[in-house]
Amino acid sequence: MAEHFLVCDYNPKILKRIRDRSVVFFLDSLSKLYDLESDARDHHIHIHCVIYETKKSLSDIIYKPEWSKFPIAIVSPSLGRLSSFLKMASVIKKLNIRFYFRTDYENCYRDIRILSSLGYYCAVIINGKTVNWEELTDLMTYALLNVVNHREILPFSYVTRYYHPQNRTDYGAVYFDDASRYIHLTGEGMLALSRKQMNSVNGILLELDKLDRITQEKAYKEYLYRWQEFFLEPTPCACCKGWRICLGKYADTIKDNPGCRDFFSEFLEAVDLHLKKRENTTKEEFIWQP
Amino acid sequence: MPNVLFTQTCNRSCPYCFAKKHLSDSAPSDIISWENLIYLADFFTTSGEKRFQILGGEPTLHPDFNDMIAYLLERGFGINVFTNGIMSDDKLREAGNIFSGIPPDRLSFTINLNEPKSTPQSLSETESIKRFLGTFCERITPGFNIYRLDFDISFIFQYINEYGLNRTIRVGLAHPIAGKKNKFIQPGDIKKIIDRFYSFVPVMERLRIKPGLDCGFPLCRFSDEQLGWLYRNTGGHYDFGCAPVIDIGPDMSLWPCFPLSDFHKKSVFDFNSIREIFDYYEDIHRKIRVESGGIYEECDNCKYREEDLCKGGCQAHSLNRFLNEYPVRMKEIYQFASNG
Repeated sequence: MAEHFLVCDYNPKILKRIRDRSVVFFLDSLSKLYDLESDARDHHIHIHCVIYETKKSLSDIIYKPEWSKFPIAIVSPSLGRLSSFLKMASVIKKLNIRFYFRTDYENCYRDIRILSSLGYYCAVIINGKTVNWEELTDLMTYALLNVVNHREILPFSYVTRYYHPQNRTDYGAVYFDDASRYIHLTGEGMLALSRKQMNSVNGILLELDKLDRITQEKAYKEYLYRWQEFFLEPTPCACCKGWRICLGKYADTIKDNPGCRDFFSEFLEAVDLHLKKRENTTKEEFIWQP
Repeated sequence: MPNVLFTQTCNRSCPYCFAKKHLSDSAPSDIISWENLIYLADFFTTSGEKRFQILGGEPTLHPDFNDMIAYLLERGFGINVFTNGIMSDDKLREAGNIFSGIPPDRLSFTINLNEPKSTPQSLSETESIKRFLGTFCERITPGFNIYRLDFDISFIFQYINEYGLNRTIRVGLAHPIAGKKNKFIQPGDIKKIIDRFYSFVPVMERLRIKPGLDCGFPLCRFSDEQLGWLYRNTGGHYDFGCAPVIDIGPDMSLWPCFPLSDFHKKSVFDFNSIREIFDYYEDIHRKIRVESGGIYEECDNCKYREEDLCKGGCQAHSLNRFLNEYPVRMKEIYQFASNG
């Protein structure tokens, strides 16, 4: 099994304990990138990605060409003024950056579509409580079936990349929430299987020193196979066609905000169509090309 | 190329406005959404169309006007905005800053100017228009709609010189809204209009200002001398046509130009390309022409019309001749047109 990525807040105190690891860092300010860079170099840490969550609109951030060295995920409430954002387009286009928007903000669907159509990588963070399933369906259709080129939108494109018609597809990795790839680390050097678990009393699994043995842990295995719980009782999710993609992520919110079933069913259909389209396109490449 | 309406409201009320009926039937809140704009940008791209013509109401009233123009520019489109130039100071200042580096062939404006004497406007409107002219100068082509026989365009010459505007005046005839009441030029007066416009030629020649005639002028009402002048100043590219000018509403509805906006509405979603839209409405126009003829009796035997050098004036006039039989006859015509 490939080595896990660690996910943690940027905390200089813990860096010497994660030497030679690939790490996803949460930063509270992008001005700390330079410190992070030198610390990472000193401790032989590979920066897999930097996550910056802000209350600022994207157009209020001053983007710097020097950031191009880092893979960056910016989680922002909104795009803001497009014209102001586009003034920095020449810099932003050279960055290795993806913009994340939460469904907590009603204009996120619109902002993602604008940015994607202009060539920026985007992702939508689906909160089961706040998501507008109809708007998300429109966005998904746009992401997968629109004929005009646009940048990929996660998690839709992630699912098409890893989709197998006879298997489950977990897109949790889009949010660094997939314990088979990402293990979360507290400031005190304790490991957890998700960001949510990290913040709960019973969520801590092991000490950092035991990271290489984590796959042997019973709790780890149970966590990876927790999807099986859906089939132990007759839950609505167990007989849902879309479960192969959602894996019951919205089971807690389905009562208050129904619509996930229709969304994921349409998502599956769109994935099939998208893959067929891609298959046909690929076939064309086998014949003579000018 | 089709016109795309950003808004369906206007901050002016021009007596000749051929969009008046359509706008009064629309809700002020009916503005183009980002989703529809992106859909249209994609639709134009797949249709091979590289330019947007933005219209209203008054398009600059759209709260996201500047951002939407910036978006379309970033998508690589060329843009021409039809406006009255009355814009809030803040928005105008912002627009001036955002678009200052964009070449005029990628972003231009056609500003519809009203003659101060015959169509008075408030001082604040005049000041606002002047600020607009001063901000966008060479990007602006002045436009003038003729709805009175005693029109005077000399005030535009002054604007062209003062603000360095594009030295072409786009002149349009006020056309009727089929079946409705607005001020327009009667077919019998078009010759007088052309003669009056031609009386400004010595000044235009001196100032090197060229004419840009909008649709609906019939060829037969020009003298040979006037045609010669037109030819020399337009390089022979002038067309005495009345092709369907496709307008796309904020809600993605379609119609074949404003004076006919009550008739044969469709939706962008009914078509796969702009070519399909034009083919559809050209077919309807052709069939209506067969039925209704040109704007004059003599159009029926006109050689220019037979040879397709002239379409016989604006179709809204032709349809207006059936007013008494309206709406039954109209319906028949359109039914015939759509059924082939």
